[in-house]
Amino acid sequence: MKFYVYCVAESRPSLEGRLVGIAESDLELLDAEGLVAVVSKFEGESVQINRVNVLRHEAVVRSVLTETTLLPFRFGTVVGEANLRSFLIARRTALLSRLALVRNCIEMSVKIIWQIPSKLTVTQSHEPDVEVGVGAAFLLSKRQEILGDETLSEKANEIAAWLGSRLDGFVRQSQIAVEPKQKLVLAGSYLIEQSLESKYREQVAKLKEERPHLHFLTSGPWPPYTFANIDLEFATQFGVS
Amino acid sequence: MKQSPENPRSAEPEIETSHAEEFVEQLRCVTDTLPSRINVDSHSVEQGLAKLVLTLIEFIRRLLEKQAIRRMEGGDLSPEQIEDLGLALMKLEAKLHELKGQFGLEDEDLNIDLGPVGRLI
Amino acid sequence: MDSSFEQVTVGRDVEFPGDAELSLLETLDHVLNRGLVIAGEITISVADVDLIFVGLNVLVSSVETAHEVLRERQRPNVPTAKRADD
Repeated sequence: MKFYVYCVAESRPSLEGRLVGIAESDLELLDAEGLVAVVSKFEGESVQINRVNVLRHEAVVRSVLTETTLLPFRFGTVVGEANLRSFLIARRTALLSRLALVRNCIEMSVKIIWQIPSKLTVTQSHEPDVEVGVGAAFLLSKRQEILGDETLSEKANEIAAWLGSRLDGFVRQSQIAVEPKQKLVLAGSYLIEQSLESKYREQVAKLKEERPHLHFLTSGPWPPYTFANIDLEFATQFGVS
Repeated sequence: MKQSPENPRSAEPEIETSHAEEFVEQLRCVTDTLPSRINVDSHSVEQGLAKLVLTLIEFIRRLLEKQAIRRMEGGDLSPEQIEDLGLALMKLEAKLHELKGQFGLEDEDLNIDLGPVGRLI
Repeated sequence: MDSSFEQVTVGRDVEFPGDAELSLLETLDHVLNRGLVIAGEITISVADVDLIFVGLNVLVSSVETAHEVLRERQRPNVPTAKRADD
């Protein structure tokens, strides 16, 4: 019997009057040595990524979050009972420690779009006094390109650092992705203690005003999706890649 | 749905932006890069393998380029060596471009997202 | 030889007015790119791969499940598959 898995919780949520899950299956609980998986029976081969299913997954996770600390599963995890149990048992320590991390926290999200600084001119320090061959010219132009990219990276990382230092006091942990060559230059996820949520929001509002040339999208509160995956290492400091 | 209205954690996530269209455009990349179909016919497997291989070669090619430039800047290459290296890399780039064309691949197809490390290109 | 498809369709919704679509996209970014995974379990489209590499267009997975991901380079006016119960 395969189960669709929504999250792992540290205590049993009540399922009274609970939502139904994916494919209109009832929600069930699966205990394994103190950890509780919230699941529903699933019979298909795979789960379609569509509006209904995605929102259902999120709604179930969110509703369990009202009662207990949890680690959300990624959308689409379908697993046999035995495998699920052995996962929970084998990874118990890591799961417990991650649950402790996210306890009483919510996740907030910041995304930034910038207008990519136009072609940055880089002065060529290697002024050729002899004629440059085709191969050398190729390398030189690549060098220009790379230097331009590096400057772009610097600018992008500066934005990440600015965010980081300004949000430092409010954030338990963060994960930032910086993509200097993309319009969506930064996507940050912040693990915030619930009690600090409004202070965090105030701070973010200030940040938006400070740099009006940056376009912000903020969202939350989310269940701690970004901080749930025990197999990923990520930087707790700002400025990734 | 059982939900206590006073509990803030049950609140639906708010999404706030003054630039909805821009973000829609950018976030669509998430769904655009998802596979819309899985199939196991042999042509697709070939195509898939080609992409993988070319992606790896492209990755290495970029590393080689960077290394060549570093050496050039470091001054430990003679002008002839620079020229030869440049030509070789130029040919490699052209060859890869040709191969991409043969398999009907664009640059974007090889621009894999390496997660926390960022994109390839 | 007929190729048999294991159809996994991404429900590309009809254009919703901005906000609803933005909301769905932002939700997708959370539930699709993040969260706990059990390695080796069949998920939405590929086996044995961490879906954080969502930009990966090609994947050749392990021997037992020769699923392969092909990015459709469809032109925009090719209709996407409809789900009967959408």
